Amino acid sequence: MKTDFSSLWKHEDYWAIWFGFIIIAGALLAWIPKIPKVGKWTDRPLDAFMTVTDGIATGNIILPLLALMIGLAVLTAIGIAFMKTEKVGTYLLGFLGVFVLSCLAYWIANQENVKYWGLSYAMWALLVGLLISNTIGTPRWLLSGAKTEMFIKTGLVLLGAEVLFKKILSLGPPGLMVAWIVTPVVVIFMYIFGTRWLKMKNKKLCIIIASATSVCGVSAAIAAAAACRAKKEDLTLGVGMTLIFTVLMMFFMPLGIKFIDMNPILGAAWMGGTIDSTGAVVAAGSMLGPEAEQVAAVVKMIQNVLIGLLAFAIALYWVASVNRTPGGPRPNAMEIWYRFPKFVLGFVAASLLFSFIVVPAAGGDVSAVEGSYINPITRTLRGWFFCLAFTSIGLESNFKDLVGRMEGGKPMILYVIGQSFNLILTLTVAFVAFMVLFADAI
Amino acid sequence: MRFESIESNTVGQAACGLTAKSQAPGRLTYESKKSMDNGAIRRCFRFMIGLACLTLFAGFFMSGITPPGACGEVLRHNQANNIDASPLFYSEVEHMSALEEAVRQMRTGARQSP
Repeated sequence: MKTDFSSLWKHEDYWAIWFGFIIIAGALLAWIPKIPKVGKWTDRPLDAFMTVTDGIATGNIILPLLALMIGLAVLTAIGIAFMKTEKVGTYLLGFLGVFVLSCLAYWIANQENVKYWGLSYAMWALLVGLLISNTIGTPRWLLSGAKTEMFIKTGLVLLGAEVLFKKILSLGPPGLMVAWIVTPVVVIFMYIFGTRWLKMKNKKLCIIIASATSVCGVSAAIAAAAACRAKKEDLTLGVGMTLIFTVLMMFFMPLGIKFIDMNPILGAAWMGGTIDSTGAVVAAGSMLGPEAEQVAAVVKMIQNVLIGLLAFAIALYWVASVNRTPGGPRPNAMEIWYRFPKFVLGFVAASLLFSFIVVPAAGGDVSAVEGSYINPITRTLRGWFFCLAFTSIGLESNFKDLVGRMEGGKPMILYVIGQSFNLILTLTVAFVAFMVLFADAI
Repeated sequence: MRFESIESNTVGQAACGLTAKSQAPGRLTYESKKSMDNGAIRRCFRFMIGLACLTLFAGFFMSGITPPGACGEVLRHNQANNIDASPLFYSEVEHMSALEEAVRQMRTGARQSP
């Protein structure tokens, strides 16, 4: 794909950057009000749509949700109009449907007991979409609004704002060792194991599973899939596996650690480095006590920050090596630039902007930046874009395609072997870091 | 284009039985109408079954039932301490700042202790 100036308004990668940075600019300049989100509820389903102050319902979020739907529809429709991938009217109608289904997914995910299980909106959005596509079939008007790639890429640019480099020093050298030495080794091991030993034909699925296992589950799977331009079905499989194993590891790792009477800090670092999603890490760490909960969560957070570097490295490796014509010459710098997924640069740029300009401008007060810009605006909108993306993936997928990509169970073998390797290596490095080299650090 | 889009509405058209031919005016025979009706009924039936399965699946998790014994220990702990295990990324954990601050204090304490 050659790039000329018209790519700036004709190509989705660039539009993801424009959308992301329009939102980021709106947040920083205080043009965007707090973004509404479907709330938690226990036994009264409508509580999810209420605003609660001091335990008393003071209003509802229906109008803000409608405003959000219209705002996102108009913003993204501008891109659709320029890219000419869909008629704007048809897209708007489809977007409305996808947004309503995403609200439904959020509503299920935000029930209190569901949250205790660690089942996130990503799973419910996929299931709601799959239910429609595999039974009545996704109607054409609804498919017009299912712009998976656009939603994912925009969500990733926004996710960049949450990747703050200052966080990597939160636990000092031992945290850095566990999170940053083990992770790249596991990614490379799993990729080589999958492609060379298991001889999996689908390299993209290999890297998605490797990233999800070693970095941070669903978020890393999304970033890796987008960076190597994987198919939707590959992302669905990767996400499905990581969700199932995350719940299992959250259930059994703390019990095992308690059973063998392992040092809680060592156990916490071990779980922080191996359980895929942060919520499950917090829950599992909490089983070992408050200190373990804190250490586990911070180890996971340091690992989360790797997501930007990972996406960049995968994108570069894919355009420079995997997509190369067999026997052909190495692509030169311009060729790599033409093929490079540009939204990854938006993702990295957002991370650098917040890490090295916004946070220092706020006097280094990360909490203030999180409280003013990230949590109320970019994080919530990123969640909406990912939820829209997973609903869209469900609407466009069917079970037959998913089963067909299983290659006789090889992805599952890759996950199990890779996670076992991750468990052994993380425990070893955590022991050396927390018990031997930096035993006095905590 | 990757995250590849499915080809020209194949899911929507095939599943709804709406091909260009069948949509053309005046082409619908009695048999084809009847088979479309049967197809629509079958799809509705499949949807109802799917919806029931999803409702049961979600209902199970919403009910607060926990697996017995050790398998449900973490879940019961989450319920008792109101721990949200669903965040995908660290920034989604509500009390992340407090956890970071506690680790900072822990490190400061460790440095100061003889």
